[in-house]
Amino acid sequence: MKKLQSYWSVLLAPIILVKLISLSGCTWDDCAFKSEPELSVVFENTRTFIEVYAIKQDLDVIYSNTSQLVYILPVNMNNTESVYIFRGDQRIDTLEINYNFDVTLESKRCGFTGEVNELSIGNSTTFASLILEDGTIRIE
Amino acid sequence: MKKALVIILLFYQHILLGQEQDKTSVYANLEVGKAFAWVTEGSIYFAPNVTIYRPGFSATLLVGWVNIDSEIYQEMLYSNIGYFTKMSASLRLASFGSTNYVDGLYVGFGMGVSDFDEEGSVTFEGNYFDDYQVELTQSNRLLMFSYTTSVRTTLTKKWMFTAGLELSYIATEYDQPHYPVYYVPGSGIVNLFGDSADNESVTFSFSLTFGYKIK
Repeated sequence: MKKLQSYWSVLLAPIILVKLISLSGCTWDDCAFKSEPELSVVFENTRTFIEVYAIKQDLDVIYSNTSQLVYILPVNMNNTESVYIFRGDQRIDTLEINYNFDVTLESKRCGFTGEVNELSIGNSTTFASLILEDGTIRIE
Repeated sequence: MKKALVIILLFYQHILLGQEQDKTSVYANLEVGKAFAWVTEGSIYFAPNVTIYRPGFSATLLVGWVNIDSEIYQEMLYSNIGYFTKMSASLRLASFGSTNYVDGLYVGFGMGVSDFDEEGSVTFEGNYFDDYQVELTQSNRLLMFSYTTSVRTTLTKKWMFTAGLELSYIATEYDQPHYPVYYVPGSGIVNLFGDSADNESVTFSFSLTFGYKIK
């Protein structure tokens, strides 16, 4: 029986070691933030919009009564396109973007991150002069 | 030709002589070490095996099944379901003074196949749009070769205990389109201490096995 006890004490050590390592705490402050991706839309000139929203099942206004230059818009991860409506006093403009949302492993500790790739401007876009630059859309 | 016949006759003579002397034992074994380690994570590891003992030699056939859940990758619900089968042959190097031909230190080589699916579910929270849930599945059927060292001791007339260490080489390329293979059933954890996307072809595992003599 003593022989068996000594076997157990020696051979259970690796199990306990592995468990301790797996339970050891780690911070992931330096990991990429995991949330809905966002698109930056920058206007070169000030325009006033009554509402800015994306098309989805329910109307959910992102910006209202605003004339700012920079708009941060959420990107739909469940689709390969997102359509945004910019409703002003005189006209309504549409911005459509097409993309792929790719999930990749950052690391074991940080887990997975999602990234918008192959971003392009969709056909239903009504803005006349528009530039796509480094993932940011600039509208003149 | 004559030499070959002589060798074959000697081989059969060896077996028959062994049977006469009742020097063949068969044990039905169950690995409990990994089973214990995994069950604490709510997982299942079931690996029954049979070992035939002859003086100075043993051969083992193992068939196993795992259903493992893990939190190895941050924010991913990981599961690994698979089967594996292994065959190995070992030689007794030392008896530690025991008169029982089963007891002793063994080294051996084996090979096996592990067939498993890794599934991972990752959810990205959507504040404006809906949450996005993606299922990342990858399947592997891997050929593995292993080197084993084990200490085996009889506990009673019927029961025995084996403690083993195993170094496995995965001979087949991993198919890992989404994330590194984490665990190869029947072989071990891959890249246990690393945090990279690269995997090793060598795994290390240990086993604690109880056996019951059936012949």
